[in-house]
Amino acid sequence: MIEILNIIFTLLIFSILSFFSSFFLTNYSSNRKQVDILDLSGSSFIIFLNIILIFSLINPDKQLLFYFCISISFLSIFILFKNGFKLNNKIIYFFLLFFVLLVSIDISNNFGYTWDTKKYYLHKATAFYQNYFINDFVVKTEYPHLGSYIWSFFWKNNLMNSEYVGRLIYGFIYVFSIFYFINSFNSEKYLKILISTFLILITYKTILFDGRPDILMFSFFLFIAKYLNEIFHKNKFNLLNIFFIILVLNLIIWTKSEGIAYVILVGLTLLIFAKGDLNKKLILLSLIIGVIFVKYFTYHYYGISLNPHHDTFNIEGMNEINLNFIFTRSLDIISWYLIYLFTNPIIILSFLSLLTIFIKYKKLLIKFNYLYFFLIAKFCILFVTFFVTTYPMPFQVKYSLDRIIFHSSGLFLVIIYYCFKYLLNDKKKLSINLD
Amino acid sequence: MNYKKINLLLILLLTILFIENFQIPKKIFILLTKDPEKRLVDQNGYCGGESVGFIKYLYEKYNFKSIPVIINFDNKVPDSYWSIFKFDKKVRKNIFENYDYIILLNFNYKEMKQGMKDKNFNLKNYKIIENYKNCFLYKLA
Repeated sequence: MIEILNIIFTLLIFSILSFFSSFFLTNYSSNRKQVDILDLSGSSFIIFLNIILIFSLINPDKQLLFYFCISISFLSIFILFKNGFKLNNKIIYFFLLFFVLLVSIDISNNFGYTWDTKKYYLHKATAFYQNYFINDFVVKTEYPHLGSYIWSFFWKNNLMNSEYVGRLIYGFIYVFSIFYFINSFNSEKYLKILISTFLILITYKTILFDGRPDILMFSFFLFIAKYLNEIFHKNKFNLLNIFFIILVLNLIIWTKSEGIAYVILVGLTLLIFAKGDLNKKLILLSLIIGVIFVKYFTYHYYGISLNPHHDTFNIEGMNEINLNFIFTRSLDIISWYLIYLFTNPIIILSFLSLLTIFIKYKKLLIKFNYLYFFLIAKFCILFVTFFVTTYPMPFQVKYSLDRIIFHSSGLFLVIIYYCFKYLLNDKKKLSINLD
Repeated sequence: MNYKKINLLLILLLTILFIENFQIPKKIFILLTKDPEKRLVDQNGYCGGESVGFIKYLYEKYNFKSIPVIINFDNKVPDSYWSIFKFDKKVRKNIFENYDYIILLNFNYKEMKQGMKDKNFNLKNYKIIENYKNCFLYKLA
């Protein structure tokens, strides 16, 4: 019973922390007295995660940091109520918490760690738990640390000091990102809850919450998808959306080694396809360069290798390249890529939606140009990476490509939404005509 | 039935599907009846594979001052140091201070000679003080 109470208590803490910077964000609300609870806490939570990231580079006492964050969050909530703000979409937030509870119960029973967690991530989280710093790791020092840091942060700051409680934050971020993304569409409340529930059902796997940061990458991409939807489909290429995209990209670059590639890809996508003035694009470009620079400067300062993956990018492997190598490796990469692409449920649904759009609403196809570019550019980067890897093949591609495809799959959900929107509109028009 | 009711019904259906699919009631029961350590051992084995249960048992009984050498003869699993939940820079570099104790996991007498040669170890000065199936704790005599 104590454990269940501790889980509920921890979820309450996550929920309070998600209002960390809400007092500052309400200034940007279009309606001065009504705010969307998910919009507000989502943006606020992105800022909170960035604050944690910044502190992880200084390594203060985690309990002190926790008390600081929780105090600010309580103050934020107090200011919110004092100013008489009315929170909308509370029912969606209730369902969000309910699903976080279900996912948390599942995570708290999962101690079946995968190989990478046992070899690297759990050691890193344990090190952070014992107040070690990012330059103390001995193995895979070049792996970014954000995932392990927040894991240890909540492991340290709960009533039971159990390792798995730290991993509950992964569940919270995952469920939150799904609801946050779906909430950005103009639909009826219960339909949003239904779609979010369906998404959880098709993407949730217990094993993803063993401590590896892949599920965080998926969630961060859902946050990005929300802002890309605002920029590309609602024509809101404004500084606020640019600011939040940069904050999420900053989280991504500190979560996994491939984060650097994602930052460049998302940046390029925006620079090429976003419709806005040159000044905003220049600001975006300089912020992207800034995000990359901060990471590499930090790594250089603490003497951590700047090579994103030592076993992959090893110049000696180039000597093996011959005609047979090119053919077999290309075949391995392309075949496994196609297999994993079409076993990912989101990609399957997106592809079917795109097919429907192609048949019924050809004009709509052009709206997703930025996604085609992202997909093709990502494939090119993957191809080159797996081509030069010194890991044994096809072992490497077989055991990692599915996760890499999963990372950014959330971006393509927007295709499903617009397909259904147009289909429903057609149905409504038909029923009006019949009446 | 209006849209709202249909949506609610579908949400309920999908939620039940999720609860059923991931055996949530069973997991609540496990949470109520087993502590985290027991759940960890249940899922990772007592003696076999990484032998987490055996290591936990030894840690509780002997209260080692520093992490002892753990040799696992099962090559299909990573080393078992993760199960101690203690970060030690030297251990990560494979440098050990404590040779008073040696834990041998999945250790088979028939393969002993070759296995110990491969791991550069000599047990001449050690005696067995704990044993469960193929898991052993040796102490310097």
